[in-house]
Parts: sequence; structure tokens; C-alpha cells
Amino acid sequence: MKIKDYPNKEILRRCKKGTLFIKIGAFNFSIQSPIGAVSHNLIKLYSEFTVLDEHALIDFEVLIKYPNTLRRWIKPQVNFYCDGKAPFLPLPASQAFPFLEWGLNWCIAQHSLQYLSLHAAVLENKGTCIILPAESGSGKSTLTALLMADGWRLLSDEMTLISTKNAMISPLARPVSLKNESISLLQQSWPDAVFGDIVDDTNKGTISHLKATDVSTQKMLEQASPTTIVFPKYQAGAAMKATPKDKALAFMAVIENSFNYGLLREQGFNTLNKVVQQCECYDFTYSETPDALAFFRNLVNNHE
Amino acid sequence: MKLALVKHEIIISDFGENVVLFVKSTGQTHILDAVVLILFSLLKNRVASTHQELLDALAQSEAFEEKNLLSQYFTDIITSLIDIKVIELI
Repeated sequence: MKIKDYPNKEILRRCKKGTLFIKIGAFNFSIQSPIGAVSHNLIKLYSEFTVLDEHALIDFEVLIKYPNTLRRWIKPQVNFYCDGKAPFLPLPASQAFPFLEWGLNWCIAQHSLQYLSLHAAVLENKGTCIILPAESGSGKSTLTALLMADGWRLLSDEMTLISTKNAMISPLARPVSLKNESISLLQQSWPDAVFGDIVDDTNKGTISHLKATDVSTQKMLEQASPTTIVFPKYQAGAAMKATPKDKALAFMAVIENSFNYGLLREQGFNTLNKVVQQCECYDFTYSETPDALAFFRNLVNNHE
Repeated sequence: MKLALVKHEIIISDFGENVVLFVKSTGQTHILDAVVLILFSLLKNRVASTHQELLDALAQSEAFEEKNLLSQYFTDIITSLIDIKVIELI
């Protein structure tokens, strides 16, 4: 059964009690929080995710809660725990849900050595699977959301997980983290989309999460083989430009965006080598959404 | 002093103009001009082993002026390969 199949009250109860077990891609999470904003956003943004029964093997036990100090009441803060440990400093309570999202990223990035994990979005459309590695501020998440609105299947917004066994990508299909102006841009261009709470004053500015499309979550266990690596860069006023990128340079640029390449050593090299060898690589600059979408549609048409 | 490849220490991915090298002993990955493949071949087949012999073999068909420029270029590459522990002085 999925989250949407349960009454909200039951999800709130399980979340509070620590008996809410959710399957997110290849991982089983136990998510516990007494904080309303966490459970309400889970209900809204994770409605298509499968709820696991109490016998499921859990990979990560996650807890977001108020501290047992004055900061519970005065300028309230929250802590994030993974398997009983708090890897981060507390954040303002208003950021509880984004904190959960960042924490989930951390759990996966730190503990999943069966994957080469990249700071990159990944989407798929009719067999064309594009990896979008990018630094913060490059417009990656906005582009990802726009592509999803254009019919692409979201595999991941923040983290690309490439199997070290077969170089296939495992989806996560978690919500897309939108920042600042891109929130209103997406709200206007995609009125049917589902957004989480708007949270101001985070260290990334104003944040809201966008729910993945149903097709993305329905295919969450369907791996994809990467065909294209695009290094996107939003530049206001710039004409669209897609330049084929030397694969050796692309290889090195992907390493720059990896969370665990260094840890995986030879396995990381061999996995990334396989991916880069089989992919076309581009540097991509854009400012206008229709131009960008047309470029990505062409990639699909050329691949078919 | 002779130059030699550090045995079993590298994995090479050839991308045409450039190669990407993984050095097992350091865990580092490097991008280099694909000309290093010729250099590796010379060292592997023991066609040349001293620095000068390598330079002569790499730039043998060039005119004097080009030969000097290429010698400097290859010297830099050899120095880089020693630095990243792909070849060693023995």
C-alpha cells in the first residue's frame, strides 16, 4: 500500500510513533518525527511511495525532533538523527522538512558504496537517459523540474546512483528541491504540480519541494542505462548553446561532482569509464525554457 | 638513470586526443595527452629507457627546431608522469 492509501491520521500517528517505513528506490527508511510540517509534507510529496510493513529490513532509521533544551521553545530548533547519531548541527524548526530531505541525501551518499553517487540530476524519456551534473546555482533543479513537466521521468534531482556492477542508474524519484525564483516560475508554468511548504531563510534561500510525477514514482524500481551527460548552465540572456564535450574532460568534470569516487577507487574508475564511454557529452548553456526543452526533445528524437 | 613503467599500477581509458589514467597506488585519476601511450609503448618494449633515448625516439623524424620544442614538451610530460608515480627512475 502507498502513503495515499492510508488516512492522513494514520500516517501522522506512525510518523510520530516511529513506525512509518517507506521504500525510497532501493532503500528502506524508517522516518520518525513529532513535527507536523514533516508528516504533512511527507503525505503531500511522498503520496505515491510504498509503505513497508513492520517486518521489513530497514536501511536507515531517521528521526527529526526538537532538542531537550530551551531551544525547543525559544527560537525552536530541530535535530536530525540517522541510526541514533546526529551528523549535523541543529537547524531552525521551520526548516524541519528540508532538513529531512538533506538528511536523506546524506544517508544515501555516505553509506551506499554499491553505487557511484554523483551530485547530479537524472531523467529518462523513451530510452534516452540524461545525467545532469552541476554545481549549486547552475539551474540544475529548475531544468530538472521543467523537463519533468515536459514528460520526462525523474530518476533523481540531487543524486545520481550508478551501480558499480552494471553501470545502470537506480531511481529515487524523490521531490525536486526548488529555490528562490524557480519556485514561482514552476508554479506559473505547471499549475497542476504539487508543491511542499515554502520555507524561507535557509542557507540556500527560499525552498520548496516539488512532487515527482506519478510515472516517476511508479517506475521507481526500473533502472535506466545512461545515454547522455549534459553539463547545464543557466545564464540570463544567453543564447542557447550545446557544445559536444571531450569525453576525457567530461570524465574529470563528473569526478568533481561525485560524492564517493575517491572511496570507490578502481571500482569508481571502471564504473565511470563505462558510463562516459557509452554517453554523448555536452556543455549546455541556456536562458529560455522553450529552447532548452527543444534541445532535450532533440536528444530523444536522435536516439530513437 | 633509467626510466621504467611502474608495474601493474595504472588503468588507462583512451578517449582519442586525451587519456584518463587511474593510478592504483595513489587512488588518483589524471587526464593526460594521448601521446603518453606512445611513451608507454616505448618503455614497455624497451625501445628506449633513458630520458634522452626516449626524447630521441619520440621526436626522431622532426626537424631540428621542432625537435627542440617537442623535447621540452615531452620532458614536461615525463616529469608529470614521474610526479604522479606512473613511471619511475631506476
